[in-house]
Amino acid sequence: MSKIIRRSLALLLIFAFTLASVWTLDRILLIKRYDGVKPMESFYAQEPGTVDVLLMGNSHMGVHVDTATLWREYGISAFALWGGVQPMWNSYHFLVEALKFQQPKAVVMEIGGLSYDWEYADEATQLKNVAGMHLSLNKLEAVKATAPEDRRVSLLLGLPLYHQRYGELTQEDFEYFPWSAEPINNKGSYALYGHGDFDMADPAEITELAQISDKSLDYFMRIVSLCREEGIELILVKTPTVDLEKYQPYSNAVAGLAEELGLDFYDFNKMSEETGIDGRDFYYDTHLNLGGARKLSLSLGEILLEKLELADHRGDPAYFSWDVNADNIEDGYLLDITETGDYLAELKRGGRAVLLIKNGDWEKREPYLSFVKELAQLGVAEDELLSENSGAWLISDCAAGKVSPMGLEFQLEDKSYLVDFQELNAVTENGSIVYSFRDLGITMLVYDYSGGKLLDMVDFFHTQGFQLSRK
Amino acid sequence: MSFVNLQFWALFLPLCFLAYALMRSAGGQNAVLLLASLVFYASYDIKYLLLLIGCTAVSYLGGLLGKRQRRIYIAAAVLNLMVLLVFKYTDFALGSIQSLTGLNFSLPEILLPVGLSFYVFQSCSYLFDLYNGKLEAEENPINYGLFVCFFPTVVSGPIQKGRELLPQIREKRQLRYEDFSFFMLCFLWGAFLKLVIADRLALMTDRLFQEYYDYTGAVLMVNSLAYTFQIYADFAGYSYMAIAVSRLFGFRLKDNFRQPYLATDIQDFWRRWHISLTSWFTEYLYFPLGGNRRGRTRRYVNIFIVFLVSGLWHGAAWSFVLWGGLHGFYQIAGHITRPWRSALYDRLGIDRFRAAFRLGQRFITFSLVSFAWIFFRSENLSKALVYCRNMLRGLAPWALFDGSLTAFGISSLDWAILLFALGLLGLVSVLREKGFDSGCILKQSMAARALLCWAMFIVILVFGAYGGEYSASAFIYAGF
Repeated sequence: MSKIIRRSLALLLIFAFTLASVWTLDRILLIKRYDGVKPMESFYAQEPGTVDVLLMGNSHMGVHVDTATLWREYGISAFALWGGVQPMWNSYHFLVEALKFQQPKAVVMEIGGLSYDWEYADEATQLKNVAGMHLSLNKLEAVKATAPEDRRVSLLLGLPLYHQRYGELTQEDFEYFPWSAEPINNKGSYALYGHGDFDMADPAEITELAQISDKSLDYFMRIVSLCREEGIELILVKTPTVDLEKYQPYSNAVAGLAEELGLDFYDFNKMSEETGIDGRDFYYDTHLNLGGARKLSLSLGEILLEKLELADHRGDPAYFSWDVNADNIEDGYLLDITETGDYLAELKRGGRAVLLIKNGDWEKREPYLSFVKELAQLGVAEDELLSENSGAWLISDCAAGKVSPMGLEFQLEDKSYLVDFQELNAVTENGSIVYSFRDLGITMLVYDYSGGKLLDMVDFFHTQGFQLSRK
Repeated sequence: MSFVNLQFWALFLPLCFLAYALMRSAGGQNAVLLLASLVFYASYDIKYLLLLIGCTAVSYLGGLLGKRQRRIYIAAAVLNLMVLLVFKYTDFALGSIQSLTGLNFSLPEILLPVGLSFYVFQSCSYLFDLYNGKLEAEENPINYGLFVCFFPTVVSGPIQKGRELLPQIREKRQLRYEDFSFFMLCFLWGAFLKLVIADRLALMTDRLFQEYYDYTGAVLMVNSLAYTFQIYADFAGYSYMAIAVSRLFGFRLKDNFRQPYLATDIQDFWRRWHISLTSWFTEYLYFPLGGNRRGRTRRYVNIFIVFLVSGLWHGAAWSFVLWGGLHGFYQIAGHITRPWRSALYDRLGIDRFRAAFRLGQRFITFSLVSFAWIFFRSENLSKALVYCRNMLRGLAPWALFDGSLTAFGISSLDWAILLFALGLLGLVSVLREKGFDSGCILKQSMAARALLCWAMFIVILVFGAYGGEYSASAFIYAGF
């Protein structure tokens, strides 16, 4: 082999190795935003042809519709392909990208994105709405629509904008490779825990019509055309918001537009009786908490089933990842909860087993007496909770209230649990300590209903007035 | 478009190199490079392209016409210098008159065309060499155009002399694998200096040279040290990249920096810092003024004039004049005190060849240079003086340890990376001082060289300050 050929081959090899290194770095350093980036990245990991319903738009879609509820209640395989403050042009390019891999029967489009009247979003929003897309002509077009010229190259490549994340990398950053399991189990939607308490205005009182910007309208019409070309049912929705002054004029404008175009438009702000959503269902004024999202998803599920022939995929092994997604959403939500009442209510929804331990004795007065009443909802006898003895109960099904007698040894699936107040002062699982007692009070070890996986450990200490705390 | 711009790497350089490689004659190669150079320059600001072409045409025609009448060389050089004076110093001169007389009139606010100081000086060096009979006039307009407009050097140098570059332009250059290897290594080192060190430090210095009045002592000292390294990494980084790109096209340019912060005195510093400019001033200003041939006093006056002019060349502001004057003062003071210092060392029995003594000399020189940079970087003279006053007032050394230094856009991790990068720069400087240069690396196996280049590329890619708010055009010396 001549010297020139050898050197050329070596240079090619070096070039390929460098490209591979850059790709790996890009995967690691990519911002793993729960909006925009992760939904798009996860979408690529879905099995082709499995997504029946695409939920698209800004955060009002990503947060207000719960894919877990649509799955658990109706078996609908929905995917929320959204981004925070996502303008219509990014929704359009997300849709173009989505249709390369899936043939959904319906696209549910949140129209909040039509309220943006700027030419370009702020720089962080620009990035999260394109960074998850793979390099393609569609991404190039998306970048052109998203950012001014001087920023387009950086935005297209991504790495120039997020390469300085090296100081904030976590385990998650090393799990976003094509062979990682995580992305396929993420169906896009995002749950918020927390309550506001807002007064709900009457949307009917706002009759003003907003002027939709030319750019937003242009991309909205492209979405309409694309769905028509592909034979996809396009359903427009405005999910609930407290900030009606801002959004209702747009909803009013869209109502007229939808009528003109022969599209279905559901203004959920005007459907609070059907959904049952009230001011406590908001996380803050523009976003629902998961409780609100569950209520909305129940209504949306009914609408989808009424309008479309959607198969119930529950139990189909090809759709197992929707089960995992629902588990992940529910488990993640449980870990976010900080109020006792909410926590117990979430346990009551089912799917969880709890090892409830009473450690020590204390004076039986408020707030313990109220707490005992709340715990009793899980099926534990109040008099046992008020007794002087330490002990434990295995609540094998919180929803059904199946509780074992008070004891110290329990069996859950293939695992045996021992509660030892004497020598170890700890709880062991198959002989290994999983929890050490630190203070007098009630402790809950929360397990996955079937798998026996430990999900959460929460304490209600006597010294802290039986408020929920985590180690 | 600059060397660290993606358009340069992804489009300009590959296309330029491809077209260049297809040329079979020196004429073709030069035509391609000239066209590329004009495109490159136009990418900064197309309206100043005419000025570049105009200055080039004047010096080219001056070179041809001067064969009959030597004074034409000088006339052409003066014409070029006039352009520099008008564009660079009009505002400064009028502003100074305004301050002195108190007259109130609006300033024209003329923008300085990028690279003007460099290409005017390069054109003048050609004309002065013709005048001194050191060079034959270049008759081929493409060759001459390329000499002035050559894209790797037109924006920030190194300032080339006709007698060094024109002979290389006239010859057909071969594409050589060794040149490509040198290009990769040298370019990546330049990019490392620019992106990993200079632009990271700029996050702090840009802010603290604005908000200096809120800080004292240690913070301002660290900031002036940071700027000392920033300006070196910035300008040397650019020079390395310019030398590297030139080598890709077969041109061999001389080093523009030779470990300046290892200099043992100020004279030594200027032999190592911006060598092409020092050489220009030495040959075309210091020697014509009489150099050191007309007695000690005249020599000192000449040195002082050269440094004042050098200060003005760097920027049209009194702070630059003071910076130049300070360096002139350092050098003259060094000359005057040399015999006394020698006598003192002899009396104290200090061995001037011991490493510790030389280290002390380097430390003092570095400190003097670092102090002078405050005047160079400050927006004006009064701000520079306030900066110095604040720096010397209240040391507050705890600021080095209580996390204060992470409040200026450089996190603890970034500081660790910076210190590592500066350590690497120091190591490379010492090795080069001891005679190890790029040739030592180029002799290694291809695998070793490739691994080194790959590692440098990855380090730059991850730890470089680029993208986002970063503006690649902000090379410090491009403003002069």
